[in-house]
Amino acid sequence: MDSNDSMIPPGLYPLGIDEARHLVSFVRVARDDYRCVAFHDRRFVTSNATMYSFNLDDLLLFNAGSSSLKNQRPRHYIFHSAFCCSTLLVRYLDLIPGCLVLKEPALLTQVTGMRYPASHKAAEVRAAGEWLNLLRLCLTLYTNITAADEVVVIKGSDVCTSLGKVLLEEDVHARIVYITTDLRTFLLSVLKSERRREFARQRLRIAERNPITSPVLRSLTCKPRHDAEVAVCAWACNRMHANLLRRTGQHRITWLDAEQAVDKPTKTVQLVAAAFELPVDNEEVAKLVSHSSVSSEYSKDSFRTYDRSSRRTELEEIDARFGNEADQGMAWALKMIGSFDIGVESLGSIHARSI
Amino acid sequence: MNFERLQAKAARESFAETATAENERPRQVAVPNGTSGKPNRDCLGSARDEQFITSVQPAQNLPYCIGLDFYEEAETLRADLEKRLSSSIGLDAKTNPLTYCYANDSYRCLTARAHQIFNQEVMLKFLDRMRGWGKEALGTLHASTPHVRIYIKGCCRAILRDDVGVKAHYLFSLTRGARGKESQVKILVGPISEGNSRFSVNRILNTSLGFNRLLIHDVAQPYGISDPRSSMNPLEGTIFLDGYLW
Repeated sequence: MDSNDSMIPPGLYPLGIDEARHLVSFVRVARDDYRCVAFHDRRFVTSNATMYSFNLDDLLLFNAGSSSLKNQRPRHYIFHSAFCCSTLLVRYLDLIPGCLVLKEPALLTQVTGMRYPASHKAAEVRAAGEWLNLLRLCLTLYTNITAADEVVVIKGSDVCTSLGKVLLEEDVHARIVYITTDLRTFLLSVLKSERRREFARQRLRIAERNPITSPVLRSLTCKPRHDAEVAVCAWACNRMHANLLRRTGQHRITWLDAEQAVDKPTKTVQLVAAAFELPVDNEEVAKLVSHSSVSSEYSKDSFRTYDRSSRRTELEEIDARFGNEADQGMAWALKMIGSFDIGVESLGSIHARSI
Repeated sequence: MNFERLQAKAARESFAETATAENERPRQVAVPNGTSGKPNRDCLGSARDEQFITSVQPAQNLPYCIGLDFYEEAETLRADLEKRLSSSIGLDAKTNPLTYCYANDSYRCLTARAHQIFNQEVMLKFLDRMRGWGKEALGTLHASTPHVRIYIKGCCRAILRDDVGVKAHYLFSLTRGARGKESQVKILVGPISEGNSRFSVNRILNTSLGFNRLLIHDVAQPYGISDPRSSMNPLEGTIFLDGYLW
């Protein structure tokens, strides 16, 4: 219930905010578990886990008044458009000593959603800097997990791409890596399962509340009706946020392509390590990558074999089933892309199938 | 809830005591001079009864206000407190939650964190009440978890300003059984000298808070707490839940 002088005891990972009760919940996480789990959310809560709650207001007060020494530790971000091998990329980063990677941490996703909430009432309550204080607290709590000499890399969920601009403004030392895939591959990845189709619909609902993307969606002369068109909107809105980053701080953003992460992992990890100034040189990166089993395992399921060749095979299978639907989405994208202000070239390969 | 501005009667009685004691002459008080922290004993303060009454402002524009019978579950809080303190034995922090808190010339009292005394659900309800009231009366959204402060014989706090970037400070009283020997809360309600001025004339609100009363004041106003004339038994001391609203 109460914060102490170091705000919260070490070893506690923030899971989420209970807005109704003004509580932040935490769970104790062993250091090695951060590497073992693909997503840092409720999956940390095992049957024997002890949960802790702190008064959100106490944490906000403490954070506002703290000297923020811990906030000065290096903190960088990976944002992405979903289904673009970002999980693979962070599994490589997990290999680097002195670097703690947080994988789609649930609290950051929640705080992102609280910026433009669905309920008007909630929006009223969180006016005038309230949300920014929540974001700052969230970042402090993540930094709090790391050791003094560690770099924290936060891979946000795809919705967190919209935070990029404010995160760069908050911390002049922060760097962002943005990874994406071409539109057609994205469409195939979405169309292959009902769960992912629902994912795209949910992303569209979020984009409809965002002041950057909602005017564009409203102005579309041809509204998205089919799943492929909805998925185009989800991808394009994410890309709009990424393009905003270009204008905010070009030199602080590194752009990566999904294929690059799969085909040339060593070079990709070297690029990211250099961007984030991680304590490792190119030679060490090459050694770490070549000696790891990361490139042969499925990122979200270590028991499943997954490499460049199996990825290609899987995409071909999906293309055989959903290729026509994806093509319809591409045709709709060609008509509408002008509205999104992201450039036709950003669609990737349009006419030829990308695989 | 019967929330009221400071009652005129209480203010008169409170002031009468101060005025009598000081014989209506300017009175030396410990006030921080423009900064928080150690008290500055160069400041002067005095007041007349009428000034006290007219100085009461609407809640949205603090300097201070008092709520009577503020919380309907105050008895539960008091019962939790009595149960916890009655079972306190030995020096072990797990069984004895009270810590002696001391800073030379500034304060000395017994203190505990809320979670060491109260059940979590009980405290969450109290915080809900504080937030709800704060939103309605002050337009605030947040309430910090209070510390429990107990002033027994020999304890006091000089008139100091809390160095916290929030809107309001609250003291909620769980004092019972002090039989008129409880501490007086003193709030500086007049102007505070700033810049090069070494002296300023100030007014002091001097009041006691009975059980289930809430005192709210602007956090920029220095406040102090007098040495009670009660025993050294914590349960007979002046007991406050002490926190912030913003």
